[in-house]
Amino acid sequence: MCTIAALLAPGLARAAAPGTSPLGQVDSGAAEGSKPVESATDGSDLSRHVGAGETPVAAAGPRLASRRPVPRYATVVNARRPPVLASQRVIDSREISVAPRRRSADDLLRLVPGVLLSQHGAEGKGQQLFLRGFDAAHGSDVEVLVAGMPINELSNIHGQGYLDLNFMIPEVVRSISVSKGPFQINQGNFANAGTIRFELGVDPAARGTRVGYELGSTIRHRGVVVHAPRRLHRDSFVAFEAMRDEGFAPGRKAQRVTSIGQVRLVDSPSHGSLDLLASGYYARFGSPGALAVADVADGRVPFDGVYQSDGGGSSVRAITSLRHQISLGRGRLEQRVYGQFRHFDMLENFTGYLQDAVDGDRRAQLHRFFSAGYQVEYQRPIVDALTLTVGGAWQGDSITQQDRRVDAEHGLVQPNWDLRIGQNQAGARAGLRWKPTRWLHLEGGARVDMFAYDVIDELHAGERTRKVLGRASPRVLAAFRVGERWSLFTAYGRGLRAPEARSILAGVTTPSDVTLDRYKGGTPRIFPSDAIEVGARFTGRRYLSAGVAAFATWIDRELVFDHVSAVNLELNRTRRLGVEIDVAVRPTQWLELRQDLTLAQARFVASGAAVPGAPPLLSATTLTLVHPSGFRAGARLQVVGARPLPHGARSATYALLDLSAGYRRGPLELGVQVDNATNARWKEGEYHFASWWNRDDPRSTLPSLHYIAGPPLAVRLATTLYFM
Amino acid sequence: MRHVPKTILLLLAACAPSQEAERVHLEVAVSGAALAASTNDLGWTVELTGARVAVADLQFSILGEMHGASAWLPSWLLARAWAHPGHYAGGDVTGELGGDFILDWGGGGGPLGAAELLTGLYEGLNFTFRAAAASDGLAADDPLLGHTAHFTGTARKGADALSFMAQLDVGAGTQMVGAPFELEVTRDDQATLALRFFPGDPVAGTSLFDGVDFAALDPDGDGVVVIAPGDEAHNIVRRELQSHVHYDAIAE
Repeated sequence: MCTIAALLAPGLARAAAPGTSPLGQVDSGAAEGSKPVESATDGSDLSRHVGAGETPVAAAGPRLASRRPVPRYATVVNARRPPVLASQRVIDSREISVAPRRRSADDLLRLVPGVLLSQHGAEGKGQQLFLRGFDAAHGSDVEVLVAGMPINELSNIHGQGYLDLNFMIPEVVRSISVSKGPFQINQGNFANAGTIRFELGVDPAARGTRVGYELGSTIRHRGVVVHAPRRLHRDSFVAFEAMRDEGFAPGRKAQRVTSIGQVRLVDSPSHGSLDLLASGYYARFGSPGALAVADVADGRVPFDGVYQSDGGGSSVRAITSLRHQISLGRGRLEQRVYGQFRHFDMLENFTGYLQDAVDGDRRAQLHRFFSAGYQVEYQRPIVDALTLTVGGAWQGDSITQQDRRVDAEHGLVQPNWDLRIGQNQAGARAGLRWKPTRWLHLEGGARVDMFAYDVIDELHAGERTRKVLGRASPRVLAAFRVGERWSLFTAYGRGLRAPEARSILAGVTTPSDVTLDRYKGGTPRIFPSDAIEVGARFTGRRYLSAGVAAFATWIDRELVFDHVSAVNLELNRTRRLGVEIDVAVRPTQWLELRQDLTLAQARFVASGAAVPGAPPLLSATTLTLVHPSGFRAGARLQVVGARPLPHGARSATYALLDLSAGYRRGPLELGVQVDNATNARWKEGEYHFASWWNRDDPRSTLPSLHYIAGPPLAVRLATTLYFM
Repeated sequence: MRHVPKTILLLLAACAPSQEAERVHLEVAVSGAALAASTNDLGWTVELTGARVAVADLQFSILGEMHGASAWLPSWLLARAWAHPGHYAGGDVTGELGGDFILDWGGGGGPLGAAELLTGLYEGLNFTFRAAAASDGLAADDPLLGHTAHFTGTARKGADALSFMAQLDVGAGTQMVGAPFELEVTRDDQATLALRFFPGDPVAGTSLFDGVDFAALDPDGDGVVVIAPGDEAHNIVRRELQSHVHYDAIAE
């Protein structure tokens, strides 16, 4: 991590406590979040910007920076550690603050190049993710950490790796770090497509107290309060949010209340720093379900209608975490202990009466867990150019989960799952970072992950099943500096996805009414992915930066647990090839135009058939304007290519234009966000499966196109009062 | 810069619509071509003169990209159609001929109707057993009426020759899953799908009547055997009848 002082006076930075700038509040977003202080002398690709209402004082030299406290409107110098991967990217608070379609923290994932989100329900329900040729469903191939804590829920009843990021408040997300592919040893379970890290905090320019209110055209009300005293560390704040939205159509209502706070309890050269994070979150959301294209074409249901209006659910999360960082001689230790309570329930029906012609196919899901975890990482230079990193992590979960088919009054028709689960995840890693010359950076190492499951099946007389699985994953990368502006990258890594707890019952609990020749499925196991990446990056002095990354991922026999038939499906070998291109042009310090393009081809190797779901083309054109006068604006045009669906069907292509603008003068800021500015009629999610909604029609089990309508034009007006 | 709005508009207008999977309609018929004599494990050679089974809802399934080592007997295929949309679906029921049918292999067969199939590489055939009803066009004294299957024929062992009649009841909703149906269905296909019944498993050499000692079922020695619900022999044959090994579908 580079600090402004480190940039201007490297010696000062080395003398300071790790993670703390000599200036206290001016640490910048760094490429690897809370990593040890990195020498700034190699930070040639420094980006510099001026926040809203700030006065450029960048010309001030080291002496000025070290003598004066940070002024009210300060220049913020973001010094980023040079990327070690071609596709590595950090999205800072400036970009976040002007990003359009910023309804919730979940939406911030849209800022990650190459990520496609698809919302099945209303705000509060986890979204479907696509990245690098993976249909990661609710998070099964994308690892997400918030303030260092893993958020993917390994065994969520609704989907493996389920991600719900709505407990964060967008105003306190300081940076989003993206490492695509599984190339670094600190990337754990689910990182087959990549790892996304959210760091929380409030940058110096935005510190103080602010109160915001947002009114949207969908009868949306959102209030937010952020209190981040300037005298406290950058990571310290407390924030509250309340939101209610009637939604653009039936089944899209959403409401939530969120509180999140982080405070530095101890900041001592001898004892290190101790940060406390606490969050509480409650949300209710609707779930419209998917519509059969044929039914909409026949006029049986509106384009954005619903078949049944009782879909939806609630989500609760409480988190607390303590992070301790300390320098131990030349080394640095970081450890974190955390605990979490989580509740998720949901009612949905995607298939109508296909399964049960009388009571219908409504499914009620309940998932609840307590978890505790511990992480530790120690870094120490062995010699000047060689740094050793060792780390470990453990998380234990105590889970109850149910899945039941229910009737229109939500009475029980048939229990599908009723489990009590004890689950432990542990990992250890070790690696070396070697910089033999100024132009070469090498990293290599390995991690070992272990998963232990203890599942009690209440529907089968409390039958107990235990399983322990483990796997080692090597990672290696190299970054070459070619001159002052060019860098070349290459990396290899093995990713992993551990099975969810239910899957260890597969083939063990055979229903009594099933004939003996029933397929029992594959053995639950951790399946690996092997990925490589090569790329190049040009970092101009001021006006231009660009990068290209080519990637490939192979999975030999992916294991997918089908939670309806309760078997582990083993799929044929797949490979994903692709290329990512990004170009950023900065004609002035307050204007950036960025183009991100991702082309991906996901195929089954033997048949050549497309892997369903993965988008072959994603393009995002982004304009970010943050003018010193206080005016800021953002525009984003996203183009999504047709996705292959099962059985040879294809989804529609679409293009969406989202806009935002704001103006701050003194303590008052006014803003407007326009989603889907062209009012495009689009299908946010498209699927190919069988349903039977109109019982007057003959029942058919043939799959057909279904979709979930995307939001039409929506406008949100926001006003924020700053008390600095 | 003046071209930028035009470019954006072109991009916005370039949205291509969704595309449904290709569908074809293929005639389905019953074929008695495989109704050959079979010998059971007790040495009885059974020759069927009548073989009728009441079924509903023929389904044709693909395995998709299931790994070859595990891709067999996909009774989970229908269930996958109910999985949460958006999650990966590797195999599915993608062809069907809905309705109630009497599969009459002894009567020489005949057309059942036109099945609708998505194009793809098919591997399996399923159907659901049911009880025959008057709505099937059966006479009031038809021995199949109210039952699932009716077989007539002769069982021979050495010098013994016994004629037999079997009425079988299979629980409503019971499925036969995973009978072979190996065919790549393409957009221009015009084949007729022939449903065949194998009294003897052509692969394993087993018989529909394995375990049935016909002589023991003729205590009065009149040379006529009746297998009916409630008999031990009924339960033996019923179980075998549900096995996929006795059926297949081929393109003709």
